[in-house]
Amino acid sequence: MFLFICKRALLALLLLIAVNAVTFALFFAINSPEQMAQHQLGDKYRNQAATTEWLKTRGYDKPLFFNAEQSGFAKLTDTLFYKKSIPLLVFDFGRSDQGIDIAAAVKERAGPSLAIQLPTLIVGVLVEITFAILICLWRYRWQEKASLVSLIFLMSISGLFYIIFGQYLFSIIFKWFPISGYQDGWDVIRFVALPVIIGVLAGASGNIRWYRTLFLEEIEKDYVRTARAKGLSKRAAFFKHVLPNAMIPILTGIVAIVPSLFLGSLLMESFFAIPGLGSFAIDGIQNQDFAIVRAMVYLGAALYLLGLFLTDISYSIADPRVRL
Amino acid sequence: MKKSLLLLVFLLSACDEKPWNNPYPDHERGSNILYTAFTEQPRHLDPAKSYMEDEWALLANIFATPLQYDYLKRPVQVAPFAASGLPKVTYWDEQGRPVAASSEHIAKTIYEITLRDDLYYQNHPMFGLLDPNKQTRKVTADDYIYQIKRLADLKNECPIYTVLQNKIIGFNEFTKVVKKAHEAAPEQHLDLRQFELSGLTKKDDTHYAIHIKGTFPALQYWLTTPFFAPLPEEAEVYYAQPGLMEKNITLDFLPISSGPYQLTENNPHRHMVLERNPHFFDERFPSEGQYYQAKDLSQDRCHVLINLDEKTHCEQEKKALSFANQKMPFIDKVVFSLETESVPFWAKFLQGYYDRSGVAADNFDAVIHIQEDGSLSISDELKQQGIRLHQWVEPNLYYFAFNYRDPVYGGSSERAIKLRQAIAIAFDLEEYLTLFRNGRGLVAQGVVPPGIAGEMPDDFYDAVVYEKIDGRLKRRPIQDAFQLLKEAGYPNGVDEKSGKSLKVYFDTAAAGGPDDQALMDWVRAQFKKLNIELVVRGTTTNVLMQKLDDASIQFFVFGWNMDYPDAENMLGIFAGMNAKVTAQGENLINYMNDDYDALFKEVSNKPQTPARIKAIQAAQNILLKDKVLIAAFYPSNIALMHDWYGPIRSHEFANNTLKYLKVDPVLRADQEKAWNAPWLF
Repeated sequence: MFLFICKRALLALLLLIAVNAVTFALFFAINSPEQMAQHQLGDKYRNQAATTEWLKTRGYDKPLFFNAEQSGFAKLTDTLFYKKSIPLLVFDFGRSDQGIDIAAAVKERAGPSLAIQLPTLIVGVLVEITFAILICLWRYRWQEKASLVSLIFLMSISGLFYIIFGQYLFSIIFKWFPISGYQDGWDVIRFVALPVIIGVLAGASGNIRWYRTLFLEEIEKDYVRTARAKGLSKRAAFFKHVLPNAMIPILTGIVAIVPSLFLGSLLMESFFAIPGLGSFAIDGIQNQDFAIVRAMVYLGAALYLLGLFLTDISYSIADPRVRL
Repeated sequence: MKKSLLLLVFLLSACDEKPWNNPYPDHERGSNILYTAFTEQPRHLDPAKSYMEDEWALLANIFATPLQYDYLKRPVQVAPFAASGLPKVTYWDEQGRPVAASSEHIAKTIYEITLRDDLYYQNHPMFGLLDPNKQTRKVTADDYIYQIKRLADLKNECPIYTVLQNKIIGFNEFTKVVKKAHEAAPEQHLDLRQFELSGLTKKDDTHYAIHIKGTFPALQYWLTTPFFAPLPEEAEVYYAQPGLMEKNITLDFLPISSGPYQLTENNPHRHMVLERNPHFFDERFPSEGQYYQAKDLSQDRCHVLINLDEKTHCEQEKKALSFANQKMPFIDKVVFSLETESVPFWAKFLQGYYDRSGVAADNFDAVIHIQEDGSLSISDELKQQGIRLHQWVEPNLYYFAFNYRDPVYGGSSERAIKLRQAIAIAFDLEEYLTLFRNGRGLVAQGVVPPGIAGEMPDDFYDAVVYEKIDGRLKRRPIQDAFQLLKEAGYPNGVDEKSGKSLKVYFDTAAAGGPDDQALMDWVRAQFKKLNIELVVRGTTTNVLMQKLDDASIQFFVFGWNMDYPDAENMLGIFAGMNAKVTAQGENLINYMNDDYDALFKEVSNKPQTPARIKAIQAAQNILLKDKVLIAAFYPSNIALMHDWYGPIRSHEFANNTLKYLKVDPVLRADQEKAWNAPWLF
């Protein structure tokens, strides 16, 4: 296990460096540091002195990847890439180009994102598994066909429609929830209830179909047939044998996405004015704030790798056949 | 069982008391709070750095700038704010002798500013660093001087640095000295007090003066902006303390108030809260307007006015003057909530949770009706809710133009002018305003917006593009454009020398979305009328700006928001000395005309006189004669307001208007309750 963790950590480090390098290359292929500076300083009354000062203050006056003016190792270390990348490896995000402490902003905004994402995940999984089981129990009946047709119909609807229709129905017509906003304390329930309901509804159809497939795959295995032949009832075979085995890919799939819940959802947070992390990276791109963009891309990649790592661990725990 | 039933009834009745969809804390219901929204997070709240409209909507209400705009008087004029009166302006020649304002030999102008004696900062822990019992202190002339010094420090990235650098005496020299000091100790906080800026002098704690090279009439307007607000010298030392920056506690995040409101909460991805500054001086609502004085309110003069605009302004002013001489600010707290999407914003406005709203293009046709006389009215549903409409023309100019250095479409040759005139006739701006702006714009016959001294007379029009038929302006027929094309040497849009058809390259950053596509198709169609092919080159804003910088652009659309109510600010974007390609200035068209430049210089250096107004109009005539702009308009705006909000009196330039506003929180709470009863099956 220890060796596995060490190997994965080393691989993750190399991947993170690669992700950072690609982000760097892509961002600066579109924007030069001078253009970033001019964008930040505004279109009116622009002047070269201010641009130069802006670049110097934020360290963008150095070459991107290779400094020909330096000698030896400094040719690589006295560059924008090196100076901006090394602190990232220890999660030192520094300050945004507009002067905001990125770590403080991430810390502050992760909470509201989690307040929506976590309940959506938990309630969503419960609802999805329940419906998937029901559909399995309705096998070859008209209810199964009706459910599958309905699910395909619901899957075809855009997520945006769920949000707008949900806001219209629950906030404008029924007037049950605030249409957008966020408050601290227990009041938060009033504000996250609607996004959670909509989040669950919007994501359910696809997952129900997937879970149903997993259950059916398990049902058709030999050991289930044997259990049924030995006289075990359909229901007992399902809940005692099929469900625990089918839950392995479901749970490991959930573990994989748990870390990225911190990053929030752009659409949901934008429409419900939730002060989460969902729009942080987009804001950074729109404002051409490279510090935010690279920090968020790096954080996203790190959390994704963490998710994959946790999946491997959880596999080994859930399935004794798997050895790391 | 009985107890459970009683509890249920109690809970239901408690629920009935307040709307469930109220987005604000329950304890705020019925409070004297204004609820408004912002769509974009402010980048800067440091008065030396901030230059965005959204940011000034906050900052202008936080700082006591020396001057402000008079809320009611028109044409727009400045009035004292933190200053006890308007600045005393004196003019001096090279030999240091006083001269008249009209003199040709003015070498220096001195603006002497006398501050009020009752200016205090908000309570702030920085004032307690030396004396723990101290929470505030008096605002002094040193604080105003200190802030101007900050504008000259390149570290502060002041957006109007180039405006001031050649105007305030000693500004450039100060910059150089401070730059050297920064380089000597790059990581350390630099106390600007130790360096002299020769153009700033202090007589005592309430008197300071700004010394200007030559003249700078626009200074009076810049003195109304946050750039010239006071900043306590202790602030930068306080915020430079270790640990504060890591918590985002900086001067750029939490400005220090000397004005009517203080920023008590800054959470820019959620909301920002302004609360009454308890130390704000005793300021009263103005008692004099354009049509009325407070004592004349009994005489209804509005009905004698014929002009509809004047009548509307008059009615608004009359209502506003009912607050005359009352102590400001009226509202205790202002909550700015972040709303990035128009759907929830509009829904909340209709539910009564926002006091004021604009009208998004999606809702326009449903809620706004255009009357036969061209005026606007709102739908019956909105009227029943007590919502009122307010419309005004913004002091901005949006224009379509060719790069004046373009070999085919640019320049002042007769050929090029006729070619541009032909295109201007074909370019149906009225249709553009109807299709893409819901009619929210006024076709510009000159370049100086309405309400600014020097605007072209009401009956003036561009006779090349329009003709007057039955007293109404009508765009000339397309045949006239073809005739001009022929005279220019391009019959039917074909170059008679080369035999090639004309082609125009339109560079734009707005070519991606579905709405943009419709706009591009429309622009193409305008050129197609003259058999000219338009090639749209979609690009990023950065690349577009780069193309404008090096004049490698042919046709483009741009705009200018006036900084202050002086035509000089608008004329400057066409002046040769401000050409982008040669002087990195704001003249993106790179228009060059010696006669125009001479008039611009005259306008720039002289105080407002009838001769100056004539010069402004003459300059506009030159622009028209050279057909510098293919099409231009002044955008107009619409606001909807609930009946508990007032007074309705927009100001095109003032940003510190929160203090003039009132809300009726009881009426609002009642209406919210009536409009938001939850549906309980």
